[in-house]
Amino acid sequence: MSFRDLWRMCLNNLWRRKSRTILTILGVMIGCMSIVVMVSIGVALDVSQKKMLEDMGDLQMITIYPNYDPQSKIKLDESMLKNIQAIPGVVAASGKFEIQDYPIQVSTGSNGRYEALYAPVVGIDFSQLEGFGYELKEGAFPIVGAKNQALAGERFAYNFKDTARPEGSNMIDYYSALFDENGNMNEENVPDPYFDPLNAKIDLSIQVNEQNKIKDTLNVTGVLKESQMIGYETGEGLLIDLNEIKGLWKEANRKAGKPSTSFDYTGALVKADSIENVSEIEKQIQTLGLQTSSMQSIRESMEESSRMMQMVLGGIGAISLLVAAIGITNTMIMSISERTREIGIMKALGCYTKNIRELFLMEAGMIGLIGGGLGLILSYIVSMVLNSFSNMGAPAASFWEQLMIWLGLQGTPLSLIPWWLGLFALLFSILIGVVSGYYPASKAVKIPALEAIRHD
Amino acid sequence: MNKKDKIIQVRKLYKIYDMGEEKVYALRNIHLNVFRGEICCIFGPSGSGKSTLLNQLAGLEKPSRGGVKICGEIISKMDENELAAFRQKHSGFIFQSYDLLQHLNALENVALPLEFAGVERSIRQKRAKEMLKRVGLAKRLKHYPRQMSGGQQQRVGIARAFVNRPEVIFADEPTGNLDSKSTKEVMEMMVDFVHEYNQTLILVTHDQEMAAYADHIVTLSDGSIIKEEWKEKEEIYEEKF
Repeated sequence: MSFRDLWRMCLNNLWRRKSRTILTILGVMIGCMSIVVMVSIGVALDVSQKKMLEDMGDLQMITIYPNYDPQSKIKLDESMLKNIQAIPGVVAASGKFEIQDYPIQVSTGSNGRYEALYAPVVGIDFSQLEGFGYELKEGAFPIVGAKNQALAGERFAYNFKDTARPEGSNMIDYYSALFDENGNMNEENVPDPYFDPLNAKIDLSIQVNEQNKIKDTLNVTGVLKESQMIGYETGEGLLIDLNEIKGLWKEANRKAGKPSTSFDYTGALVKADSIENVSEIEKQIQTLGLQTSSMQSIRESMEESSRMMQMVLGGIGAISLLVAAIGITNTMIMSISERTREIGIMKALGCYTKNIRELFLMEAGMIGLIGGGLGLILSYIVSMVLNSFSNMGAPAASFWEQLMIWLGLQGTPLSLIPWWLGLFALLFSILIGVVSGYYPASKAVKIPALEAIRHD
Repeated sequence: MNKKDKIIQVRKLYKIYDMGEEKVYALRNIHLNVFRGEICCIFGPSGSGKSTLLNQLAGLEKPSRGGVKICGEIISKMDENELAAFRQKHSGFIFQSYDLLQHLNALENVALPLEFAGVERSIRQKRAKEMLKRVGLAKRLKHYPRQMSGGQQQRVGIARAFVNRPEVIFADEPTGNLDSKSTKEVMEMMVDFVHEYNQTLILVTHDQEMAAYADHIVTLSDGSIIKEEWKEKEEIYEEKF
């Protein structure tokens, strides 16, 4: 028999048992849909987690905290930093310094009209800003070596109160303005701060003791993007060059009468050469007696839970598909007992057993293919509905954007069907069909012509 | 070479069914020669083993012992694939209950053996159409079996058996379900075809009247040939095995 004849016969056989074929296809369709939708939810979860981690910060970064125990002899000093730099896989390590011994008053505007309620002043090596992933929101990085330059954190200006206004209405509440009545974040609702931090002159006043103050004035050259990984100073603080803050601190110590105090960093940033090495480097730093944090542990636990979730979801889907496979086998077995006589006649008329096997496998495979194809279409519809729910508060600007949101490629997707999942589902459905058709087909082939013809 | 060549040779054929403790001899030591162009009637009461013999001859069942040679090929030793190829080339079947495929129309049913043999669609349809014309069903090409009478269905069955011009046609009680008028029609039609193309017909029946159409009558009882006679003895060589 030619392939075309087999094909025609296969379709003919499926068609003449319409209702059963359709019901079996429906089973495969639902099975295929459930596995695709379940996995797509897992995929979307994974994608949004990755995005979240990326938003949180550079995955190659490790933050170091000093040992806070005053009895401890382990200090985060220059030699310690050198030890850290010597760890294999460390690309760069840079210390941070914050003056903790003396209160600092930060103000700006004419006659200090705007006073900061909270503004950590942090020293960092300005030559290594870009290497550690500091990103600018506006403005420019300071020129390396130039004096009196500073970078402002993203929300730095919102922590200032206007001394010219009455108490109680002299500050802008950033967070209550950020969220609208529906609880959605919208930065456009937040009013501008009282002053533009960019190019502002910021006055520092270090209160050494009751008599002595050290004053410094800084020019803000740029506003940073907030990064929780790098540190809170990118949000609310003011960054100045390490050498400059060191100078201020030494001067303060001299005025306070304790010039020989040793210089320890109040923190450090380490950059690894790859994400894979982060956890090993972190361990080594910890053995030096320091406390660290990185995205690694968060990433690992998130990936673990996401994997578990995907397995559970995929498992639920797989069960449905297994049920569908049993359905196909059942349908084909029933079909064979109905067609026993027919198979006998076909054999008596000279049909090759090979053709009979092919016919049955083809019929089962077709059920799988059609069921899988329809299931895939249904999956896309379900996925779009899920995504339209999860993106309810974010209307799309254009039809194209709407489509991208529905497909889970934009916005916050609840379900995302990557191309490989679609292809896999289709091929898997055909495979399920053929595999479930295999036993019935072998059964059909073994029917002796004679008994089949006698069969009623 | 004899005047007529032996198209079917059966030698020392046994068919034994193992029914647990006792063994049932359905066929015992059958020796049979059928010549080309013969209408051979295998005759006997039910249970005599005539259908079993037909199944052996057609290769539908394997013998327990002995062999069957048709058109020079020993079919009792063939596997399923060789048998299928053999059937496509050399044999046709006519069944008692017509056994047309219910979901195919007359034309498709007749074309089926050609389809299995891999004949191109346009050619097999042309040949099936010719065959249906020959059996007087030119106007019923698109009719389905359930839309036709028994006689008409059996004529479709005949068309199907003859469509690939086989050398041997096996007919198992072909008129068993038909009335006397249809029986006559069907029998005459088969005899005509067989004579026209010098084909061989093996006819299994329990009906005495069928014997009238036969050249060679084999009577079976209890699995053994008890009588063998020829209508035109002068044409046939007596042969000792």
